[in-house]
Amino acid sequence: MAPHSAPFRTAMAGVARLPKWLWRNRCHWTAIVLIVPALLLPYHLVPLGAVPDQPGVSGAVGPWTFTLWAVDTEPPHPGEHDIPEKEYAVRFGPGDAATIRQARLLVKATPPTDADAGAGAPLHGSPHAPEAHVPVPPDGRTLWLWVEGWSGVTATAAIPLTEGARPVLP
Amino acid sequence: MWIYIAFLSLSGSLAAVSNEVIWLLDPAVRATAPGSDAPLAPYSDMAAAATAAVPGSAVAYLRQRTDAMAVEVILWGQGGALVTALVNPYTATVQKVSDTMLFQDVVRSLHGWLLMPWQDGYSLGYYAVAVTGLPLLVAVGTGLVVYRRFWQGFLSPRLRIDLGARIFWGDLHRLIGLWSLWFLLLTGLTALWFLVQAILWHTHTPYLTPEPELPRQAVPYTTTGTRPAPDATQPAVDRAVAAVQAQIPGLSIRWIGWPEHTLAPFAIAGTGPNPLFNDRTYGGYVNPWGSENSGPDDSGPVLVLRSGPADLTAVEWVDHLADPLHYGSFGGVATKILWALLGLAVTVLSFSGMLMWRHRTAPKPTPSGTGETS
Repeated sequence: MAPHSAPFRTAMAGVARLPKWLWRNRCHWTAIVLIVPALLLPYHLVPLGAVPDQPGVSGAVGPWTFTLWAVDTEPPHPGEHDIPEKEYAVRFGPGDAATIRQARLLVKATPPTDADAGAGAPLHGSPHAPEAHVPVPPDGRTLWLWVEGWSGVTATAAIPLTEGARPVLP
Repeated sequence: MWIYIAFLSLSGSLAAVSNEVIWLLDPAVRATAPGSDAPLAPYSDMAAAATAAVPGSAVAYLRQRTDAMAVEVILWGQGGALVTALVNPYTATVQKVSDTMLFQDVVRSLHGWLLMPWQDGYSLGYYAVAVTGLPLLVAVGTGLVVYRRFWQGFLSPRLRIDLGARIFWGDLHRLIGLWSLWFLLLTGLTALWFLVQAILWHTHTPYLTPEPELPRQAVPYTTTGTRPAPDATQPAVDRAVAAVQAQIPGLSIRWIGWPEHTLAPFAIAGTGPNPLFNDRTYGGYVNPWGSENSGPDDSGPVLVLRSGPADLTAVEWVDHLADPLHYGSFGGVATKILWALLGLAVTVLSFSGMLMWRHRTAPKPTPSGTGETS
């Protein structure tokens, strides 16, 4: 866009008017920021509900079974690394947690090997439905669930991803 | 605008003394010792009592806000909901189980981000509150310019109560403004840091030292294929706490983060010799499996030690100072009460400022009017 084009001048004029507009409507802003907490207060006084399982994919990885879902429907967002991240949660089958030493999720074109044992993101947090913040490259189409048992045995499962990095049934 | 600043000052006052308020109102939050020299119970006992009180739960983290408060054991309940068990730190008995936010957290959320939701690392409320640091600092600057020879106000404070409302509110405004000048400056500057912090969170810019991950070989494998039994002679959390306390004299434990996965360490933090820094300044990350199982890269059970401000980066230094200075928690109950009173004073300051503005901008009385408006 040329620096002195009409759309540029219109946009700059709009930006220049913004503080005045904000100041002119200061009473409204004040009212909003005071009313909003009053409306939100009841939600902070009720029990902290569990995060319900979302529709996801179920399958088996080695001797273990799992259900995996994306924590939200948003596409991957900027994270602490250069690659955008997306959150996934996993629920393992009954009794599986006691035999799993670690489980990780990673997006990769090829199946992970033992060399990838420290790659990706570890499932962590709630033992009932641990989550992972997984870096998702723009061209990433396969999410790998890598599980290691306490005996050292490892297994992987591939979960295809849609355009928005949501898991789909293989 | 004045009512917004007044609201934030009032809620900030309550946030400063929220622990003390709930301590007075609810006996279940108190850390009542059975005797004057009763020792603290092991943290493993507190965790065990909490998990026993909430069947099927697992410890997420544990915190103690002040020495007078019960230890809060935050648990992952069935289905993933967070539950808090309040545990007496001397007897390791559960005094209360709560599945709602605690009073202090509600008040802090109200003051800090107007209870607005968080998404993707930011809350509009956090911005709306932190940005008020700017008008606070501007108010300090303009106040000093408008109030000529303001230093004389320290030597001869003046509050005329018999010369009409306009004079009274003007004197009160100048008096409170003058004596709360340093407080406005301090809270304004720390609020500006919170604004920077909000931007760092929003942009996912890492500025804190990340939690270390254990080398894979640091965790033992088992022939049975199940998780190894914990050390019966000294549970891992007590051993971790002892390892950090041995290296940081004067450490008062305030927060213990349980390993979130098998290769994660215990995160132990607390207050130390310098009270100006927050309760995450002293502590360390500890290998829960002990040094005997560690790999060649591991130097011992304490993976990372933070023995005080000297171990912080410049940004962490500011981050760890901001909270105690903003809420006045660095000097115990006395400074918290002082901060709460100053917050109330700023509430009055906002109100008196509004009244002065109304007096100045009110229409001049006509010759047939009733005289001075008030």
